[in-house]
Amino acid sequence: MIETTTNVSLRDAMYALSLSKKVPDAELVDDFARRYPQYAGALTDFAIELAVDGSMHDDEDEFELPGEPERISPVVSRVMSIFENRLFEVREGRAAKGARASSIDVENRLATLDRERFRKLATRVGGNTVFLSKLRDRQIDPVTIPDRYCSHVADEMGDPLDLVMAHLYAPPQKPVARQFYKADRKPAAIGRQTFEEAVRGSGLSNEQQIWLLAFRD
Amino acid sequence: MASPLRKKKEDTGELYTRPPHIERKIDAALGQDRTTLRARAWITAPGHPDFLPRECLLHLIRDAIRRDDQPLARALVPPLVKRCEANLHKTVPDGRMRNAEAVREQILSAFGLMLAEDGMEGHEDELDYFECSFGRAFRALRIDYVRREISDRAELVDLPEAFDEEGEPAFDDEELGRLSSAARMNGGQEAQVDLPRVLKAVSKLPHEEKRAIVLCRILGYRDESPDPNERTAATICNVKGRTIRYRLSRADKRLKRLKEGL
Repeated sequence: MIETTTNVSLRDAMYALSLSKKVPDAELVDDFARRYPQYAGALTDFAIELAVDGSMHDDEDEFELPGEPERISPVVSRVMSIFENRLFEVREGRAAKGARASSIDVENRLATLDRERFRKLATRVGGNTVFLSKLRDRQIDPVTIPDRYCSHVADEMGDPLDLVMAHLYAPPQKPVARQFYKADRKPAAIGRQTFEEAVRGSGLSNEQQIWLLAFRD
Repeated sequence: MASPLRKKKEDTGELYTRPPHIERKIDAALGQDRTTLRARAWITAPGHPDFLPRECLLHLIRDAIRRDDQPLARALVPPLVKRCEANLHKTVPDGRMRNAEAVREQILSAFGLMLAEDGMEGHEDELDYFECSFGRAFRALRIDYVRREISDRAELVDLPEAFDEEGEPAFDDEELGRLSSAARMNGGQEAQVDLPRVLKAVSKLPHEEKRAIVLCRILGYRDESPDPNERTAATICNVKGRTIRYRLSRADKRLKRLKEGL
């Protein structure tokens, strides 16, 4: 038996094995073990799981999650925040190999504004402080916020769009201005509003609502 | 027209290719505007005429990121990640391991990073596998994470008591072998109906028994061989052949107990 080592990563070998056959057999696993002797044990263990999994689930399985089709879960929102953060780093050339943005600690730039600047920004983005607070506290489902409005907010804040998006997709925060209240029960996560719900429910004038909703595609 | 993939097959040096029906779907989608594509991305019913397969959706995202079309990428990534999340809820359900929820999020986060780092050093063309067969590539990613998690925690799952009461199918070792062969060959309807339930039982066997069963009855390895160069279940598990046979026997008894309990 001639064995040669290659510089292929274990993950690459796993992908290749998975793509070769829906359910592997001994011949295929031995072939991979010969080609990648340094990973023979790991690939065989992987093939065992693949054999069971490949038999239980179809490749093309598409599953529905309960709930509204265009609403995303908090998990997907956090993943989007990681994606936006990392994409920003990659674009800025700050992406060093191995220095992954594994956390979703996104600076909340809106929370750092003093009261006067916060009020002025609220006016410039076409809303009021209630509406801007919802953006600050990530109370609006980011998927429902129109792209053009996100760009508008980024321009008014003077921040890159990627960072604004990473902020909006980060986990919702408890409202900053209501830290001192007596609660009867443990705080629970509140569902995010859609953009339209936020516009309608922030005490905005009719003109402001029309102007904001016109950002929708 | 979709740009060709760049990942090469290690054994032949040929480029990986997308299935022809995916190429056609991509070609048709590339000419559509952002609003249309955004609406199509949320359709999850494969039978819908505007349904976009995940391979196609992924290509559109990669293409948008390369062209710096941020609004399009931003519109298409959430529905794709949501579809992956739905897949993980089925394949890594809460009952499978103690921290299934955290593992699902790890896998999704890893995938999100792969999208952002596409083409970077260390991630060159990794997503090409997903454009060939999203389901199989995502399965590889998922299994890798689940295995590592189980390995880290040395988590051995025993058959739960409730399993007997779920009405699992009756089967024995010969039946398992027949069904497993059928799975590899996309076998008959009967096998397709029974197999998932049989394999569900196998997947819950104690670790060493599961290895023995899968190696011998599904992958098709011999328990042992007089030829020292032949890979067998015994050489893979680094035990003697009789130990493999003992584990098979224990697994068979355990599986047959399920049958008697029905």
